[in-house]
Amino acid sequence: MSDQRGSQLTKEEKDARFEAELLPIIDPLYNFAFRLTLDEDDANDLVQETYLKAYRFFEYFEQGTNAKAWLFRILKNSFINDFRKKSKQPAKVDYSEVESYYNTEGNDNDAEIASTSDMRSQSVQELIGDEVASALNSLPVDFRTVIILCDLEGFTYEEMAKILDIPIGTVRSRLHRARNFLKEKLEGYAKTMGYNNEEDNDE
Amino acid sequence: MKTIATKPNQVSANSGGNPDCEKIVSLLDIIIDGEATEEDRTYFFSHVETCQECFAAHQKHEQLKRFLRENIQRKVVPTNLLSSIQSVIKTTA
Repeated sequence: MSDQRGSQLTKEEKDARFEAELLPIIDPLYNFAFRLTLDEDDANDLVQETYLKAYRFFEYFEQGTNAKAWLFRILKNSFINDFRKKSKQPAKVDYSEVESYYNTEGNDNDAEIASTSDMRSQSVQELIGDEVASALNSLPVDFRTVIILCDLEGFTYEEMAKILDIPIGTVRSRLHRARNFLKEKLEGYAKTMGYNNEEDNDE
Repeated sequence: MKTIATKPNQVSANSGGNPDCEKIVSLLDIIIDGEATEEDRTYFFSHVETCQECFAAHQKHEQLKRFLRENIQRKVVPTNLLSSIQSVIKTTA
């Protein structure tokens, strides 16, 4: 089979192959970048940078292998190495800090949310989208990342382990904790919106 | 067929006391993500059949996954991003 390396190709061939194999992934890649940076301009820069690196190192990409995982890995590394340093956000949020944040997030705002539940269904749909996105965005980036990769992009655990450079066991435990956070965060909300019928037996 | 009411874990359903239920909780993610082995799946579903609490936990876990997928809106790639990447590539050796 053609295991011609990128380096032996003419520039034209290389460009054609690059366009065919890597550029179609721009949509999930941009979405991943946006969910990580939470900023459209940063996402834009990050995707550009990722593609430039991919082009530079294209000879290391084995044709026919998982291009999406390869690009996601490059993007995630760029994010950690460059973007996190630039923005002065703390690289990691203490787990216990987050936990107590969720625990104190009582039902105080339920009434407020409930009063909006008679809105038209399209607005409700948008509202839900916003609420779910903000719950996801409030997770520490390591936890947010596994949810994006698994639930939104459909990567397998093995692919995620490779993209993130962590053991599969860590993928599993991060997913589990991330989901528990999200459940807590969203349950109260869902209930007031009439989504959680199990516990609304009084009607 | 299994008889539904005779499992002891149904009685002590309300938490982590039961090692079976604890194991079920630890399997939730690989089950909903399609990463479980056949053995795990058999164990999981035969337990969930009879344990109401674990049945509910499974439902919730699955619902969350679906809920996220259905409600997180995808961003549209900026129109000039693709072309600007292509033009940079063209001029790169």
